[in-house]
Amino acid sequence: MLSIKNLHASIEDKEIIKGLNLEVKAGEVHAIMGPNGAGKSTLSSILAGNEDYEVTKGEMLFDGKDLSELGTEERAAEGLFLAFQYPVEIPGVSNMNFLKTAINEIRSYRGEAPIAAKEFLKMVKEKSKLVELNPDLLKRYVNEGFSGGEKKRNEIFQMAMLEPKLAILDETDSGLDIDALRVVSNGVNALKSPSNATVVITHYQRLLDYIIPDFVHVLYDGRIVKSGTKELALELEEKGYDWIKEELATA
Amino acid sequence: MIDTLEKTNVFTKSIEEASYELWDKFEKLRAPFLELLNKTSFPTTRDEYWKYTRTTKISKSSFNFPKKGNSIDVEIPVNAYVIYLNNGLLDEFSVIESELLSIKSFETITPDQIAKYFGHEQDNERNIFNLLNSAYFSSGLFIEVKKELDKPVYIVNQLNGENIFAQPRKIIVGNKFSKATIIEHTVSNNCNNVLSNNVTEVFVGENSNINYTSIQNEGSGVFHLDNIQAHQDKDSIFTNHTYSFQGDWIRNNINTWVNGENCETNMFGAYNAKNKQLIDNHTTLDHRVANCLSNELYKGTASDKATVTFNGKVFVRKDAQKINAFQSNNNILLSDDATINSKPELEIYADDVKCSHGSTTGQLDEEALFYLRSRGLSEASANNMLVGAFVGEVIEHVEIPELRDYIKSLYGLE
Repeated sequence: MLSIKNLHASIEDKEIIKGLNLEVKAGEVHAIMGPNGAGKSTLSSILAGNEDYEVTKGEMLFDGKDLSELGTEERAAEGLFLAFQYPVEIPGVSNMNFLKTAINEIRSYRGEAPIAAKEFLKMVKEKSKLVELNPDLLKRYVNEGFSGGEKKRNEIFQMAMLEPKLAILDETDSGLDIDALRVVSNGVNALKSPSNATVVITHYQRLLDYIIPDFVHVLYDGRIVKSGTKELALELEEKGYDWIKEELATA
Repeated sequence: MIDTLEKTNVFTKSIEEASYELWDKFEKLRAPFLELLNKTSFPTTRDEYWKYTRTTKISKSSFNFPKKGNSIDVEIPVNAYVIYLNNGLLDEFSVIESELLSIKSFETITPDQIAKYFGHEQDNERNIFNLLNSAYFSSGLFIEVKKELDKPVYIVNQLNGENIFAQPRKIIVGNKFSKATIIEHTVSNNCNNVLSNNVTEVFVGENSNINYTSIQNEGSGVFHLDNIQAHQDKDSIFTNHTYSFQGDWIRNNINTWVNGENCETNMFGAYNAKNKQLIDNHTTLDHRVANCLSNELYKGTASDKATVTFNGKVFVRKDAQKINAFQSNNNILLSDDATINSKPELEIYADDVKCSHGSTTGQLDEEALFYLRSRGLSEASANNMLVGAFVGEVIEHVEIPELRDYIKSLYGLE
């Protein structure tokens, strides 16, 4: 589904991603861990099409399509979703209007008719329940005045509404208490299917107790330097990242 | 200078050629303004008040006394007392007279009835357009709000013609303890060189609450001016909303004199200027006495080659203590070729006041744009959504829900 080969990317001439490789197949859950400044959030920004970053080398294929040829909204319409680490507040734009417009533009991209009002409302009801999001919040402006937990729930709610093929969760666990973490994780797990995939970017192992990854990767200095199964996450939690840095230095 | 004087004379001469019975009837009221007009020249961009808006196209034109044109279909979003103006002339008007409200045309009143209101206090020195209207109004409405109205007054201002001037005059008097919303909605069709020069005088009486909302939804070919003069007595509320849409030349001169204590004044405005549109809002608020509150919010955007100007002046006079005056103008510049001039001005002569003013001009929030696009919205619709949200903050202040929704829909908002 997602195939990243020898990716190099920079911001303002500073190289952040330095030859990254990653293969994600349908039905899989991948976790990307790594110390601060390793390039985790940069990777998610680049995948979503943030134009602040320049891809200088390598390729990113999504279902065989070259992502760098696609604008941010086209990536979304192709089925890529980024749950933001810091969802922005957009005063004046109502959640419902925003979501409906998003769904309809994606539908139009795919040559489908706009969603019927009734179907949309039914979907909102169903999906907001999934992440235990108070429906009253949806009448308000996008993320405005939402607590940290509500913002993250709203991200997963949007993901549920848009039904992406590939979801990238960027530090979704940051700022969540244990109850919110459980709710958000349940939501993500409920959306899992053999035809979609999830990439979880996280600092801590904690989230991975709830969202069980098939693969764990360590991102360090712009590259994936180690890959393994969920046991690797436990090892990182216990020993930190220094041993990996040392391994790299001696290699 | 001689040049511009001559231009004024050419302009007024073309008007004088029309004979109009109302002008004879109100000759005494008009006379001082006519005299002043003859001594006044059109402004140039050297005049501070007209620095960003040229009036040359108007002063060089010749306009004729209007005739009624075809009527234009207008959706009236609220149940209201509806009055139609067609090219500045009253259309199928009949007097409204009830215990709540009285609306009469100048044909049906005597000059004495409006003598104390007509041109009561105006900024005539800097605004020749007031004088033009006082001297040569094309129609007149005398609106007396007696109590709290059961529904708003809705004036549909239709423009449809060529080389004409439409100069409706409105005098609105809010009696003690009265309350009203008066909406003026301008539309046009097939206009070419039309001067729509409106003067509205509002007398907000003790304990009254008057809201005057102008929806400027005309198309091209119109020079549109709203000249509003509001006078507030003690314990009153005056609220003005001005929403400008696609007209290619719009200038609003909105002046409020707060003459009594414990008053509240609200001024709201929004605009999305596109193409080569010119939208210029000049507001002046004069706090003459103590213990009053004022709140002003103007927001909008300029794209393509449009020019937007905001100049908001607030005076707080020497003995006007305990004034709270807030003013804010926020703009978004959507193209490199568009121009935004924003000039908030405070002149404070009292020492115990709370006043603030702010002006911002920026771009759309890149992070918010990226967020919307990452959910599948095209760049264009993400832009529209953010622009809508930006001006939407102003429209939220429209109190009547149906009217608020209607104005939102004119901006393409849900």
